[in-house]
Amino acid sequence: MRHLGILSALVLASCSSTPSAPASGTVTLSWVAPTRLNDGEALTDLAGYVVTYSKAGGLKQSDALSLVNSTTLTLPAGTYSFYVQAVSLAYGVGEPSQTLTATVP
Amino acid sequence: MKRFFKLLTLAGMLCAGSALAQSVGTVALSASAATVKPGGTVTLTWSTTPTVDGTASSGCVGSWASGALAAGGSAVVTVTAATTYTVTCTWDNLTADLSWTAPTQNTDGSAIAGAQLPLTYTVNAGASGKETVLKSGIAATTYTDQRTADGTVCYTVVAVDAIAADSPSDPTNELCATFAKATAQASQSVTLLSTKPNAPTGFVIR
Repeated sequence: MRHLGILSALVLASCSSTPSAPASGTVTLSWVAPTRLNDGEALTDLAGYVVTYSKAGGLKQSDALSLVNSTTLTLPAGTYSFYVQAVSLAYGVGEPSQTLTATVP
Repeated sequence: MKRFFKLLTLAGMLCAGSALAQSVGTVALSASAATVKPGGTVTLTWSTTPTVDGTASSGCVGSWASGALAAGGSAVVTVTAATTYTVTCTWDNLTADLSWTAPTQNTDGSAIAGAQLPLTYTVNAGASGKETVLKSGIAATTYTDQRTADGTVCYTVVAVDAIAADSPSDPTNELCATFAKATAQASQSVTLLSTKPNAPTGFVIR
């Protein structure tokens, strides 16, 4: 969480002004695994991730992923928002990342 | 010597001990932490005032344990979900502690002495104005009556001297006690710490 402000700024500078998803209708998301719990202790039981996305004005959809650090979504045209959460075996779904937006042509 | 003697009948001569006046007790329950991680432990500590005696009709039960609890103590519990722990204690309130003051004079004003001594006492119990002998030959000036059921019981005491031919004294003032179980409960909630993984970093769209 401590680094998200900087990362968010970078992402927004590179992604939000122009459609960052390819014209083919796919969006590839990537992230770096967290190493800590929000109480400061080490995260030792990372089980995977949940990527959540929604079209503007639409319902949220979530994909459960294993221990990967990227995923490619095939989506109909539209503007979407995305965020990702780590999943711990003991503590469940974690804090959400910053939310990014992308437009699928 | 006039052997017919009489106890003093001053108000309050027959006194109630603490158990007779006991009405509602209190129970306290605390936890070593109000928030723990899932699977963490907390120590629950409880106490009762007055102390529950743990007889068949009194005692404490805890929501975290099967069977009876001690009147006070502590227990370590593992918390896997937000839980409200409760301890419920019941006081039977079925004990009456009676005490009275020994008479010192006969009804003619002479001192109680000599062959009259030692005095013994008879405790009468029953409905108001209809007390019958509960216990006789009591040497002390106290008596504990352990009841077996709820209800109101009235008591009087008479003194008897050691001369068998003498008449007992007049009864003391009447003192009535109402026996009823009392229950008190205390609760303590323990919630789970919302520990969760930090957010992934470096989240980008490529």
